[in-house]
Amino acid sequence: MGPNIVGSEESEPSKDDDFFALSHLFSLTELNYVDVARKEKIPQLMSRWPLLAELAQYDKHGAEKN
Amino acid sequence: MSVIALQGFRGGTGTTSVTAALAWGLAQLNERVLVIDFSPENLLRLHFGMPFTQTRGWRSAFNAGEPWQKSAMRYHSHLDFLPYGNVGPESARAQSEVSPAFDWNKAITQLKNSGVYDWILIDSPAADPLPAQAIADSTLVLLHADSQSHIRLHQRALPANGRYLVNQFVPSSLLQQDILLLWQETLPAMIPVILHRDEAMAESLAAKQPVGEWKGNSKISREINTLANWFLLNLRGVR
Repeated sequence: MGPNIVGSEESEPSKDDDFFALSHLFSLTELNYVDVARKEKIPQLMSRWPLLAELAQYDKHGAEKN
Repeated sequence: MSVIALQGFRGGTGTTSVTAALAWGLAQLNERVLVIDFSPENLLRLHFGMPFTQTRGWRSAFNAGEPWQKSAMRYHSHLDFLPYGNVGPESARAQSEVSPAFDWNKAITQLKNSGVYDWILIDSPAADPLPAQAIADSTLVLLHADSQSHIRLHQRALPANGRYLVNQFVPSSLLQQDILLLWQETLPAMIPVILHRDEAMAESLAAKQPVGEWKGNSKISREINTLANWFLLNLRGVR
């Protein structure tokens, strides 16, 4: 690690601190939630569209066989 | 200065209209932009009000032994464009095969050294994307969230420093929703801004303007502005 060249005032959270904390928390929970919801939808869309399922299988195994 | 090539994953993905719109969006953010048409179809210029019958352009200047710089045109204080030019009665493809190669490496170096522009955007033809890729810092590949594109993703590699940009997305289509979701989960090089299909974009070519000028409050104009800001944060070179 190099020397700490950031002054203490600069590294201190500024007046935007509350906003930062809130947005940080919000985005964390929101993103996790969205990711879980998305992942659950992948098997549904694979069963809906045979082409997408076939190409997903190709991604997994096709390259090895060829 | 950053050089960005925009190319369709195949023909008809709306690359020219997005290139013109993005150039306008960046200029509105006080960025200095030059947008260059690499396509012999020579359509980009029509988004910037140029008369259809006017023949000037970098390719026609080069073929005539004239300096390419003179074919650039100013559209806005921060936005210049360089048409391809009308290369004559022969088919454009035959012309580009016969005529000697233009040294874009040299031209881009000159432009970089001049310090005039923050961005160079290249409208690159889907049928012949390599010349633009060779000089670009990043390449944006525009594609529709449809089955054909999904198949082609399994057949073709992304160019170096390439990213995918979804254009003309139709949220009412279940298939498009599903394909987009799959890509968002599995394609690492997707730009997070999604461009939706919007009549204002189709109108903008008929109006001979970039869409941000034609209908600045349309949904697509706001998406293009978001994309321009994403460019500033992620693709901007050193000033």
